[in-house]
Amino acid sequence: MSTPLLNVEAVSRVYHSLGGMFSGKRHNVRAVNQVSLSLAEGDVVGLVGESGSGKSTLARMIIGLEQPDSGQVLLKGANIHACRAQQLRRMRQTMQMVFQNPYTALNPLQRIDAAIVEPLVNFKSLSQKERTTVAVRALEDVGLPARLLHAYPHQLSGGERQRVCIARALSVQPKLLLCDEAVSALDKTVQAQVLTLLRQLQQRYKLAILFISHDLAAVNQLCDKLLVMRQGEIVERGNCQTLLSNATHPYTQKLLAANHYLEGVGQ
Amino acid sequence: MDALSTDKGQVPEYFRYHQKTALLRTFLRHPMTRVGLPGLLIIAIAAVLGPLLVPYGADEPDLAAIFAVPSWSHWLGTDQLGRDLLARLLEGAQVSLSVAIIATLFATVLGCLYGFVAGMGPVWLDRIMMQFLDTLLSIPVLLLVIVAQAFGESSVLKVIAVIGLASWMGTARLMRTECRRLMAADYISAALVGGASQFRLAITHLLPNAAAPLLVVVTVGVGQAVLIESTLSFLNLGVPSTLPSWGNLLGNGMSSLLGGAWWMVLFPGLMIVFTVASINLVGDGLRDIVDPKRRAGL
Ligand SMILES: Nc1ncnc2c1ncn2[C@@H]1O[C@H](COP(=O)(O)OP(=O)(O)OP(=O)(O)O)[C@@H](O)[C@H]1O
Ligand SMILES: [Mg+2]
Repeated sequence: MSTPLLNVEAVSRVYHSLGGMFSGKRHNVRAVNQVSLSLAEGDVVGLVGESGSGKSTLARMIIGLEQPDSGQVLLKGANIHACRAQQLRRMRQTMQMVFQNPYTALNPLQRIDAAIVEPLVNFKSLSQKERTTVAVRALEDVGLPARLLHAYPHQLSGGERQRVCIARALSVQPKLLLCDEAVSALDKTVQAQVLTLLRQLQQRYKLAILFISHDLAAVNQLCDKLLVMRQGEIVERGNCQTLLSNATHPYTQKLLAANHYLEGVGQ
Repeated sequence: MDALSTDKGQVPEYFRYHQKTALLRTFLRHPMTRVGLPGLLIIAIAAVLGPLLVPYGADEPDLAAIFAVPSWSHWLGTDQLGRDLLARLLEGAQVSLSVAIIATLFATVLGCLYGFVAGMGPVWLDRIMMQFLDTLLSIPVLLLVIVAQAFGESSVLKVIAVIGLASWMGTARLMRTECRRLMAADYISAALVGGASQFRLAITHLLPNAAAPLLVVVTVGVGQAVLIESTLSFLNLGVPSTLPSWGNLLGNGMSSLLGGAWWMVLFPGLMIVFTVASINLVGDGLRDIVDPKRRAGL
């Protein structure tokens, strides 16, 4: 078997925090505990779990923003936490991330065109003209008009900003995209648009996506496979459709029940 | 409707204005700026145009008018060599202000570099660098400067270097705090994920977002530098005594005060106070606009 695009091998992360103000006892949070997963090219995998289950921590370790206490993250077979900073920077071209909150993920003082081409410019030197061409094409890709090139983030709506973030992540043509609650901050209609967009882009560019969410409906719409996380561990994994229709783990069933309940209220 | 459209709390307050002109208007209407800004303008115009308008040269002795009392021919009087005090004060404005501005720019660059390294580096390095900064800050600046100036020939360049070296610490601390604060922002994480180098992070993301508080520190810093320069020159430790800096004029006046030449002390003194006060008022106005908490408390 060839090496998968991404291979996460038994990564763990423990946060140490002081307990109460007076007890002085150390309180350890096992944010991520012995998690293994792997993604092949073009895989779209959902990662669901309640708040605090360690999804973001896992994503930050995969993308290299955080160091695992143990275990390793292999990108095309290379351990991203063992290589030098320079090498890691080069690997960023393969792996990008879209953040949860589109209101904080863009520098408020950076124009949209500069934001979109920034990752690309980090790896290639481009003339001003080439930059504009790239930025226009990237905006087209995510369904935004070229007039937004010269806008600042505060002039855009949440959905538009999230599209800009997606365009920025895709500008270096990565093989793997991590989306940490990338649609959670958006309302339902915009959410659906962004999900459709992600699906289109995924097919066009043969992207592998790790889609983190606590919204099972969104996951169902986008993903082929599903991982269920609870208290830092993956408790169930499998085909998305099958898992959602007949979950075996009681926690997954609980999650499903909770989500259906919410949907019922919404209607 | 966009659920989050009203929740834009993450955007800096001073940037929420949709037009930069609105921000400028707020700044210009601020009570502090209303007093300070015209003051600064007057000083700047006087420093640039003044020497051309006064009919005397700054170094033009007139032995017929030694220690002349302020009059229509010499508005602010003359000194022991009969040189016109007004001409000397205006010439001195150029010396004192350029020394203060260049020294502050030097201190700003130094402070920013130090702040970037401490604010973006690992925690252990940050601890060491901040400890060092605290130690430096516990030494009285003036003492430091006086000791430094007591050695070697006095020159303008040396004064600039010494003032710069004595006043970068505030900027460093500010920059470091801003970096630590901003490094937690999602857009910094996004930039890192995008492969941004430390240099790019500092220049395109951290510096612009810290620019507003930095501007306040720089403005107030220029006022401080004017004071330090005056003090040094007054003590004969500043710019060469042949140059008519405000501190030199004041020091020179003090030695003539016993002879009754009050104008030689009063006018340089007023000039320094007026300048520093104007700069500080503008700095306060800027601070109130930049810091929303303070503005709310107005
Ligand atoms: N920097 C940190 N210091 C200490 N504890 C942390 C830190 N970051 C996360 N944690 C803890 O680790 C656990 C997992 O957090 P994480 O952010 O990964 O959860 P999550 O699944 O992304 O939750 P959410 O759905 O709310 O985003 C939580 O209990 C959290 O309190
Ligand atoms: Mg999270």
